[in-house]
Amino acid sequence: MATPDKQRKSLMLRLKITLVSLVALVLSAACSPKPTQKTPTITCYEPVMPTDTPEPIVTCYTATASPPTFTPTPMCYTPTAPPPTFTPTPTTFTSPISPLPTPTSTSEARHLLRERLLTEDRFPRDIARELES
Amino acid sequence: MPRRNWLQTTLRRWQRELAAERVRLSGGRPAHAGPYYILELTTRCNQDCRYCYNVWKLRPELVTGEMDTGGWCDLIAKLQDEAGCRRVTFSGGEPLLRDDFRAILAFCHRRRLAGILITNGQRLDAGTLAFCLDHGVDMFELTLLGADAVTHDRLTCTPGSWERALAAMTRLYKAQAPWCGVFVATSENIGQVRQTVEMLIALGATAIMFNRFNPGGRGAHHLNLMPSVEQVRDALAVVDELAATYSLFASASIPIMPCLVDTSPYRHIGFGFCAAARDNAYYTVGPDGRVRPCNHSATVLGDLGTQSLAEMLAGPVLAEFTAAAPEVCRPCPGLAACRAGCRAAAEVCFGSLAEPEPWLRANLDRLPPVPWSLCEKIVTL
Repeated sequence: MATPDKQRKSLMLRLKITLVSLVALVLSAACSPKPTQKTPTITCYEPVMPTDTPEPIVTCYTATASPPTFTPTPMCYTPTAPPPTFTPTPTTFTSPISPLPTPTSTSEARHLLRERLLTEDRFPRDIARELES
Repeated sequence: MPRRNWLQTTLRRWQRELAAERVRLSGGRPAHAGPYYILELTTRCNQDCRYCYNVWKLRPELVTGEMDTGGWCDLIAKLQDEAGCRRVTFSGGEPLLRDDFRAILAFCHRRRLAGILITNGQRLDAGTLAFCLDHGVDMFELTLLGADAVTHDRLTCTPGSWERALAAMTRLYKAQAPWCGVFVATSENIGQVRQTVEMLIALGATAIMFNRFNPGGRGAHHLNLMPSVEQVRDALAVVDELAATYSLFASASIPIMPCLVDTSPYRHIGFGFCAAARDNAYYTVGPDGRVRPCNHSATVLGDLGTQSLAEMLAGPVLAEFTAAAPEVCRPCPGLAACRAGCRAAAEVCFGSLAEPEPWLRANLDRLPPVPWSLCEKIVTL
């Protein structure tokens, strides 16, 4: 159950976002010499939780706040995984000021990956032909 | 324009803060959590996967028949009216083997129910895909087990299944449909996790699910397919890296117990524990209308044809299912959240909910002398 303090904090955050959105809109319209950049096509989606296996729970690790406060917890064994590159940006989430998800700029990276795999003949011929068409 | 960049940066930073705040306010769970309802439309399947968890492959007596179209429609209406169900997941077996799949889906669509389709893709042709997209299916789940046909087909025991799965994924990509690529990690294919997940991403998967092999059903006869702790740890590092690089929603839905693998370095993967009786539970309705705590479990909570779901969920069977734990886990402070891994796998493979589940049992000698320092981190869930 959220405390009144947390709810107030969340409400204040939403108000701030709304305010800045309005300012950004006005400035964009007033200052831009040409039409503002077209909103990119939304390629991400509101993550529907797959359900054939247990629903993922965001653990306390993933909810950690910011890079400076991240301190590795002492572990009972020597980890073999490389030190984590801490990136706090969530993968996708619904913007509080818009029903649309926040756009991500991964289409180009995916395109390059697809090109590489096609070059390496990783797909069967029929699939590759379909992907290239 | 610098000013505009500053505004955008500030706005995005606040959005991130709010997203984190939403996670905290919801107790660390996604705000739109379930419960979910999995409908196992049929026991029939056109693959014969060695890792399959369908309980009837081990205990056929658990399923007493298969409901007809009307039976499923009545049951779906009951779920919606009594339990407020807003989304159903179609599974099996292979749900597309039912001749009346479209009729059942259309019924759900008329009642404004969204759908998730779990399929091996063998019968997901262009017409079926278009029908699904027109009738409320907003997520498809397909499995790719390897980067080559030999690896994939050896696990499915179905020649040609790799190419047919890829063809279905290509159709999803071309249709720009949202779909989740599933990689079931076994000792045979886990070395190909990078190449396989790369293929899923290249084919437009919007989410990735990394599921360690969880024995049950036919899989209970193939415990040798269980990957080692080191293999899982290395594979998680790969999935985490790819999820970060391509901004993917990645999850490890089969429980990975923190006493075996410290999951904290993998910050781009959502880790799940047993959801039975929790807000995000995914109650499973078998082909005969009987309800189980999840699709891995052999525990029958009741018959939805004659009982209400609320009655089943309040009954002693579910309470017993969620309270069970092996002795070795009882002192653990993280037990309430972790639930000692998959209770259903322990039940199906060893006949008792109180047994260590197969992956834990295989690694009991690896538990650190003081394992609880890792488990304490999940106590608050």
